[in-house]
Order: sequence, then C-alpha cells, then structure tokens
Amino acid sequence: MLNKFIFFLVAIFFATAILNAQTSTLSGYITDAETGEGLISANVYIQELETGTASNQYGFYSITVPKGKYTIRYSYTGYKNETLTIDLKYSVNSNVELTPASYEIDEVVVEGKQDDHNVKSTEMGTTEIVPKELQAIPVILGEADILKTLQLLPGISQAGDGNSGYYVRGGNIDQNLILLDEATVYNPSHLFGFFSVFNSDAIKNAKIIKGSMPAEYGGRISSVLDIKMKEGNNKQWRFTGGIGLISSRLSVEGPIVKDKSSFLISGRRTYADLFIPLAGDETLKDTKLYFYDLNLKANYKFSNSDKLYLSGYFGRDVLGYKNEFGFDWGNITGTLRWNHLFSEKLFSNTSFIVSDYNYVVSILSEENNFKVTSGIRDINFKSDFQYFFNSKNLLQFGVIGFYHIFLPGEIDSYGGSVNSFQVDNKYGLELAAYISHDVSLTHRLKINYGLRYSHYLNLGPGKVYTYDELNIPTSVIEYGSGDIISSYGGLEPRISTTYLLDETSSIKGSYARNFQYIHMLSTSTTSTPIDIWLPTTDIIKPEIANQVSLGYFKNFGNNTFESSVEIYYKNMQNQIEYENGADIYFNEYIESQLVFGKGYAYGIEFFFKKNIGNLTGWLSYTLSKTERKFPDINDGNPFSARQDRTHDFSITAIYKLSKWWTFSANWIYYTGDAVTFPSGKYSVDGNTLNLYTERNGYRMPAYHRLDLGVTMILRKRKDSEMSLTFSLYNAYSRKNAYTITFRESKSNPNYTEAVRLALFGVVPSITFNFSF
Amino acid sequence: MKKYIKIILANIFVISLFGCEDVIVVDLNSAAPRIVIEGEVTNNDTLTEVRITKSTDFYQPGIYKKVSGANIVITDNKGNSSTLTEVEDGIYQTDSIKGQPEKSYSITVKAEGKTYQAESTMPRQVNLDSLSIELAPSPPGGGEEEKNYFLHLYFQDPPDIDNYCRFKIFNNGEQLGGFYIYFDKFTNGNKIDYRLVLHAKPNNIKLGDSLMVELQSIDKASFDFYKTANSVNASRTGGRQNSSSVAPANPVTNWSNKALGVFTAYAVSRQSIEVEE
Repeated sequence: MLNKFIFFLVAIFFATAILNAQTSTLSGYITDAETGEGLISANVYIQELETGTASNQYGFYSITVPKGKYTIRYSYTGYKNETLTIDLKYSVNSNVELTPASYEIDEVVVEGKQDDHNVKSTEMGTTEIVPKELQAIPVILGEADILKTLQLLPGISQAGDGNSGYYVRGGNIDQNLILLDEATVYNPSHLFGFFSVFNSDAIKNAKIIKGSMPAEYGGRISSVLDIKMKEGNNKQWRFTGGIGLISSRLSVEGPIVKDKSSFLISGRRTYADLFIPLAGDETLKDTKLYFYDLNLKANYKFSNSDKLYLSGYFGRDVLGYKNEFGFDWGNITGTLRWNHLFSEKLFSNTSFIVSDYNYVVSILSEENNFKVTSGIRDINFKSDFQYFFNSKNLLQFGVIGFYHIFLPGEIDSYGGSVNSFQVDNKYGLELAAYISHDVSLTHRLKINYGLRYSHYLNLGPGKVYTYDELNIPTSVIEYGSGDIISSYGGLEPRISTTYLLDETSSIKGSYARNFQYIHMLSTSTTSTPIDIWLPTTDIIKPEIANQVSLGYFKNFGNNTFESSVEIYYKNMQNQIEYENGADIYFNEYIESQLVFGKGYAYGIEFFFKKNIGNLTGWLSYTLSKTERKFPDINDGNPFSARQDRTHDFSITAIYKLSKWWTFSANWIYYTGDAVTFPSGKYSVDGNTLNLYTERNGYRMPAYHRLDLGVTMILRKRKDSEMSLTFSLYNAYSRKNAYTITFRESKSNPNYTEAVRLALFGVVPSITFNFSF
Repeated sequence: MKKYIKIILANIFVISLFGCEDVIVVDLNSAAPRIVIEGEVTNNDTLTEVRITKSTDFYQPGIYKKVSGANIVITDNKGNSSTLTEVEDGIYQTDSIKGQPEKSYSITVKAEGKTYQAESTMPRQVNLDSLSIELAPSPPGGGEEEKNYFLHLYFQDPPDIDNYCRFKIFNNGEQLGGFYIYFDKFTNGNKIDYRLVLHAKPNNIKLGDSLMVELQSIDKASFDFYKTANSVNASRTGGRQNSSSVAPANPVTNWSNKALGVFTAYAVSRQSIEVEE
C-alpha cells in the first residue's frame, strides 16, 4: 500500500518534470498597499492560460508557465484588483501591492470572480476568518472574539455558555490544535472561558480545518485553528484601540525601517477590579480579578529572499483575595521565523518556537503557607518547504519536532501543616515529517494527497508503574535521564480531491488519519485553568482518528451566495475518560485513574452564506451523532458523548443600512448536552444521595439565544475611524441552563429538587473603537 | 489544596455577578428500587449496627423503605463471629462484636434472596486534641445571609502511615449534612490545624450553640466512598455542590453485588465547643 503510494508520488513528480522545459516563473509577494501586511490566499490569475495560483500564508506566490506575454490579475476579497501585463521571457519577480476597496459602499469593487475558492480548492471543512468580519457580529460584553465567531459555523459548537472551548465534529476540546503564529496555545481561555486569549486587534487571519487537514498539520485528531498575528504596518504609524465595559485595548504599529521592517504591540486589560472599590462593599475591596494580553511582533526584510519575524504572546489571569489567596494562570508563546527563498520556486520557512502554560495557586494563611504550580512547556522546531513546480503542481514537505515538558504539579510549602510535594515531571519528544502534493490533473480534477509520519518518544527520567485490578501499584521501573521509556509512531495518510461539475459547483471527498500524543482531561463541564495535560505513556496510548468526508459545494449569483453540504464519519481510538471517583490532582499514579475506549461521530452539515451586498451573513445547520464505547463505563454499552448535539443551528445576519449604521443579529439553537441525571435517591447516614443509572442518559434543556448589535460610525476618513458598538447578548433573556443541580429543597428538606443555574440574563454592552 | 480549588471554582465572581438560580422540573425516569446497606463497627460504646433500606424516586418524599428479615453475619480477623438481630424494621445490631483498631471485619448480608459482602479495617485511632471557632470574613459580595464560621480542628497526624478521617459534626446534637473528610497526602506527620467552613444559615448555627465533632479514623475504602458520595450528595450544606462534574456516578463502595452504601469500621475521638464570635 505504502510502496504504491510512493511510486505514484514519484511518477507524478517526474511526469511533471518532463513538461517543465521552456518555462518561466513569476513570483513575488502580495501585500496590502496601506499597511504592507502580506495578504494570505490572494489570487493570481493568468488570463490567457486561464490558470492561477494563490499566495501562501506569508503572502508569497510563485507560478511557472510556458514563456510568453501574459495579462496577470491579482485580486483579494475587499481589495481593488491589480492587472499587469508581463512578458515572461525570463523568470520575473513581481511584488504587488493591493489597495483596500474604499469605504463608500457604492465604490466597493468586488468583482467576485476569485471568491469561488470554496468551490474550486481541495479544502474541505475549512473556513477562514479575518477580524474585520468579526466587528459587526454581536458578542458578550462587546469583545470581538474569534473563538466565539467560529462557534457559529457548522460542525463547530460551543462547549457551553460563555465558554471559549469548542467541539469539532464530536471531538473533545483537547483534540483541537490551536496555533498562534505556529506556537501551540494550550489554554485559549480567559476568566474561565468567558473570553478567548485572542485579541482581535492583533490578529490578521484565522483558519479552521475540521479534520481533513493537509499533511502539514498534525498532533490533534479533531481540528486545527491556525491564527496569524498581524505583522505591523511598515508604511506608517497606526493606533487602534477600544474602550469597553470590561476592558480596553490599544495597539501601536509602525515601521522601524520603512518598507523593510515593522513592529506591532497590542495590549488588552480588563478593569472590572478597578471598579470594585466603587461598589462600597468592604469585603470586595481586597479582591483582585483581571486578565491581560500582550501581543508583540517585529519583522525585518533583509532582501527579497530573506525575511525574519519575531512574535510573542503573553497573557495572564490574576485572581486573588488580600494576601491570603492568589490564583493566576496564563500562556506564553514565542516564535522566531525565517522565510527564505532558495529559488523563485522553492519557498521555505524555518521556525523556532517556545510555548508555556502554567497556573499558580498560593495560599498564605495562619494554618497554611504554600504555593502550587503546574503546567506544560514546549520547545518546538519546524521547517516547511513549498516547491511551486508549475501552475498545476505544488509540492510541500517539512519536519517538525517538539520537546514537551509536563509539570503535573508541585507544592512548595513555607510552613504550616502542608508538606512540600512534587509529582515527577514527564518528558516527551514528538517528531513528524510530511510530504504532500497538490496537483490539478485536469481543469476539473484536483487532488491534494500527502503522507505524514509521526513518532512519540516517552523519555526519562521517569518511573513506570504497573497496577493490579484495584489500581494499586505493584511494581515500579525507574528510567534515567534520556532513556526511552516507550515509543509509538504511525503513518497518517491524507487525501482530498475536488471535481468541478461546472464553474460554480463541485464535489469534494477527503480522508485523513491523525495521531494525538498529548491529552487533556477535564472533570468539569467548564474549561478550567487547572485542567491538566497528560503525555502518552506505556499505559496511555496515542489517540487515533480516521475521518472520511464528502461534500457538495455550489455558488450562486456570481459568487454572491455560497453553499455547501458535507457529510462526515469519524472513528476515534484510544479515547480517555476518568474512572468514577478518580483522584486526579497531584496523583503520581494518575494512569491508574483512567479508562480507555473508542468513539465515533457522524453527521451532515449545511452551510449557506451571502457574501456581498448590504445584507450579508450565513446560516448553518448540523445534524450529528457522537457516541463513545468504554468497557468500563455504562456496563460497556455505547453512550452519547456529552457534546453529542443532534441539532445545531445558527444564523448570523449583518445589515449595512448606510455608511454610518450597521445592524447585526445572530440566533443559536442546539440540542442540550447529553448529561447524567439521577433517576432516584437514597439515604446514607442522614444524607440524601442521588442515584444514577446510566451515563449521559439525559439531556440538558435545548439551548437558544439571540444576540443583537448596532455599530454606529462616528467618523470615517481615509486614515482614521471612530465607532460605537452597542450589543445585547441573550436579547430575550433566555435562561439557558449552565448546570442543573439535584439537591434537597431548602424549604422542605424532605423533598429534593432540580435547580437550574443560568449564567446570563440579557447582557447589554457598549464599546468605543478607534483607529488613526 | 483541593478544597481551595473548589472554593475558587465555585465562587467564580462572574457567576455571582450575573448568575441566577431557579427551581425547574426535570422529567426524570423512575429507577427500580435498589438496596442500600450501611454498616458500622466502632471502638466506642455504640453497638455494631447495620441498616438496610431501599432507594426511591427522585421526586418522592425522602421516606425510604426498610428491608426486614435479612440474615447478617459479621466476622473479625480473629475468627470471632456474630449474627445480628433485627431490633426494629431494617435495623440490625449485635453487642458481641466490639471494634478494635487494627482489626479487620468482614460482613455477609443475605437479603431478599441476594448475598452482599464487604470488608473493612479499623485503623489506628487519631485523637482530636481540641477545637476552636471564629467568625469567617464574609465572602466577597456576601452579606449577613452568607455568614460563615471557621471551625478549626487540631490533631496530630500520625507519621509513617496513610491516615484517612471523616469528621461528623453535630450542632446541639443534630448532625450537619455533608461528609467532611481528610487525607494526609500533603500533611503526613504534621500537627494539623484543619479548618472547616460552616455556613451559618443552612446549618442553623447560632451563638451559644454547642458543636460536637466526632473524628472517625477510617480506612481507604470508606474514605473513597465518602469522597465520591460528596459529589452526589443532595444534603450538602457545606457549600456549593460539585454539580458541574461531567459524569456524576454512584459512589465507589466496598459492597459486592452492586449494593449501595458502605460498611465501615472506624475509631472514634470527640471534642465539643460552644459557638462564640
């Protein structure tokens, strides 16, 4: 099977090489004329040949065609087209700047011809979002949020009210890879998930891939969210910011050396705690509660073929009460990237990345005096190559390596009755290499196929325990530093194809196999800062998922409307759950607290979007089923996964009334989560205990919510803008259950009752945004 | 440690800011009544006792059917054995088995045609040295309604061994809801000042009341039962329940054959204190 695959690859490679005589290459960068930012997925179209290409994630493009004189059109949604006539006698470097379409509605130049990417590309289950699109969508407390917006797409559902976590096609929260400038973000939540860590002012582009990821991505079995930070304006200084009810933001960007080098600094901080003293409540006065984000980026262009980027993210939540208690957590990421052009056809990017997530709890009281820390840390190296063979063939290959350090928990005691304690750190090396080939076999048929090989080494120092049936450790083997304790690996084939039925519709199919070597389990329904990541060990096996999907894509009205239907089936092996009553914190023997099983998910997703006009928006609906089967849970019978949402519907509409006023609304409906409710009760030593009969046999009440927003532009000039955004979250104040608790009635303890906790009634907010 | 984490998670300020609670009616299935067996062997003057009841539906009043006519035998690891007598409906006792620390007890219950077995070992006794009580600072945002007391329990944790305890608290002789438990994982061998938070209102604690704490030294199986029972305990007044658990389940029990409840042999130490500001 594998041999055939490699043979196929080599054959295509040589076949295309023969056709390569007498050609020239047109290459260069496509950038925004006002900011100098590289444009991602901008289109290059050669009219005479009716062929084209798109820029990569750094704005670079390269296309090789027979020698000749051509009319080249460069285009990008929301920007004016640029058409050049180029005589390709020799290879030509052409850097192009595109100008954003003017603000006046009637002037907006949208030719739309290139907006059929959704139909023509081999990408499936993939959506790109640029923060500009976010601004009009109403969100809680006025914070435009990429993660919240993603949850409005089919196949992606929110993990709960105000939760930044999300489920993709029945996968768990930890099965989503979240990358910020290539660095893994381990906890995307602020304030227990009410906000995401992504400040939209600092973000250029976000792309989510729901499972059929190309070979360049790996390490998680459900999805990839690839977020790119802005590079910073290299033409002029620019200030952007906002003042909201809960937080304020400010970004500064500008050239260091004009057209060569630029920087961006973007910060955000909440200030709810600054208002606390005003509440007049003495007990609140000493409470600390805030979070902040800082995004930093700088780049330097040495030459047309060498560019260096440095980016970093620092964010932290801080909670505390007097000096007695402190709790803070956050992510740090850093990425150093080097873009290098070996030739006009071979683009490379090499990155050195660090990523860290940790939390610290400190208790300082008369009885106890200690500090708790836990987290995960990565050092990551990757190198990616893109070989733009000709207009029909693109070859990509690369390697990636992670050194993971897991810090399950450490207690430092400074006196009092608690002892210092440490669960040993764990170490792992995760390696992968991939190659993929994107080929247009005919005008109608495109294939992207690839192969990824990944390998995980569980490294010493470390102890390996064996357990008896009662989970009591029976023996231990100690490994020294650098010893290989266990190792796993596997091939991950990926393929996706597109067949164009006509110029506006296509059928796509894909298959992907993914391995996941690090795992996070949550005991709670909300994402909490103390959720812990676990490595693959000799007991915890790598999670493996296979997904097939098939889709029909159709655009109408000259790409004014796009629509798609996709079906998918996914099976997941080596899934992990805690066993009943698991003791998970600071447990040296954590592996004895886990049970393993499998899962499967299937569904159909409908998507309909209007791209152009005064009224834009989209509608998405997913019908799906997600089940799990564990020998040790529910007597071995299959049970619905918590995230099994039969129906998941959302509609988002944005109406631009005039240059000054924009109205927006979204409505969400989904089937309540599958949950475990009691089917009875009994008494033990005077306490009433709830009786459970099966896992996830009940449903939370259906969730639905309407949000409304209005944006009023106060001032709009070419280089400055001010606006006010009003929003109403949960406009009809639906009491969506966050939790349902079963407890004794306060008024009559002889009876028990179900108590619903709803987090939000209607939440109004106002935000002032500016840029100049 | 875990206690603190729970406090944090439970008192997320956002919840207190926006959250609202109300009682709803949930359509719950009715479950076939299941047998609940509670057995206790102690080293004080209370008799060895076993109580057998049945579970009931969630929306029924808290009256539990008693199971009569069971045959119950308790044997210690020295081979002494005794059959319990039914003293009233569903309550069985014996005075010939007296609990002693570091002895193991096994029990066989035959009821309604089924046999249930369990084992428990009474650990060495941990002595409760003294108590103290103070008014807790009001929690952020809380008023008079939310008045809390800190009840401090002072004892010496025996070194070298794992110690598990349950604290049973009585206010003027009436038992408070909830299972308060302790494990010396992070505090082995230390002088312990264990602080319990008692909510004044739900526990009906007033000035001048007499609080009695019974420290029960229990084995690991009993500890695991109380720990897992706490997350499904409808009577818990000790604070917000761990209701957001992904998958609540019946507690881990030492009974065979799917009986609910626990069989525990424990050593007892008691102290009392009067509630003052």
